[in-house]
Amino acid sequence: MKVRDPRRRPAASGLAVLGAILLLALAALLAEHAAAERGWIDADSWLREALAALDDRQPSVWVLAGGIAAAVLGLWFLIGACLPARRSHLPADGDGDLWVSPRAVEAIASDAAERAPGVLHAASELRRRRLKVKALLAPGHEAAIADILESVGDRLAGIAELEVAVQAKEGGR
Amino acid sequence: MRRPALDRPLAVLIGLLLLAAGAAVIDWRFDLAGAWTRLDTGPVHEVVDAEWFAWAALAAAVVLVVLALWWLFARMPRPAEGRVALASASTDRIDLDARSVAPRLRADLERAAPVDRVTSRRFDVHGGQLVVLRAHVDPRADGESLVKAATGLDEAVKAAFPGGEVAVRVLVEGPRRERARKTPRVH
Repeated sequence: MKVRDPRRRPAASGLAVLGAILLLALAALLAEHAAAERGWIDADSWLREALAALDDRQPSVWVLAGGIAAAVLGLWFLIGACLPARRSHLPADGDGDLWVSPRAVEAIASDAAERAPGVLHAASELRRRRLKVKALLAPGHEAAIADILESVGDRLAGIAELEVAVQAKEGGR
Repeated sequence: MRRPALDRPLAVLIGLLLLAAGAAVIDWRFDLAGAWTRLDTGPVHEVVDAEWFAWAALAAAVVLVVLALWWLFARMPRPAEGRVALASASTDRIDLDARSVAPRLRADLERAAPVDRVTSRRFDVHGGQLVVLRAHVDPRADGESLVKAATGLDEAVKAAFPGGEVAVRVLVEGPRRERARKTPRVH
């Protein structure tokens, strides 16, 4: 059985909802024109009013603002449609189909770092394949960095091959 | 949420149309390409004034509404089939109720791995079903125990379904209440 990697929702997926709403708005404009022209509603056709405005020498401020917004929105649609869906989880070792989210890796790494001797507090941040551990050390425990690296490495063994960097700060006495 | 294959092409099409409309308005205001001064709106008015145009607009509106609603509803999650046909050498066909597999796998994962609140969803994939187990990790967990639990589940499913009709995937998310502990631990 061939299965795709777990991925985040692509940007095109969110744009699709917006696109569908725009299509509904265009449908409302056309339907209003048909209803006004056939006399089903007592109102002027919005489409006819918009076409009449085309004969003006210059667009109104609102039309110009709408045009700029449409151009920006169009660019956003084009860029979003081309962006690939990013992988949401890191693949783990082993025969099982196990995937671990960056948040889970950060939580495990932070806990592992906090359990190293001389560490008061630790927080982790994973960016791509680089895990940055920020640690607050108890006074006189400068050597704890090696312990943090070992502790984090041991705990993450098997679930992610990461480059671990430790940024330590000694707490005040 | 499903991702219709038409998302990207339709997004590109709408993007190009919006960009063209925006560029036309900007050209109208600043006369950059001079296209607006050469534009003759007479034929456009003639078409809109025609008797048939109102009906054409109504038909186009109906088509657009159907397309937009299809596009919206196509992304609604579709429930997976309840039954899975097991591979069989004989002419007999054996169907298994796959709905009973997921709760068992959830319980096994919760028991074997340092995770909590395991949820599951089944997906129809080519040649069978994929049971995706999503769990929140216990921060005290270690990679080895997670890998071991996932491997154990995989082996159990492969033993139960040697034909590969059902597969299991484990997604480990961050802890549920990561910020609950605000007091730093002191050794």
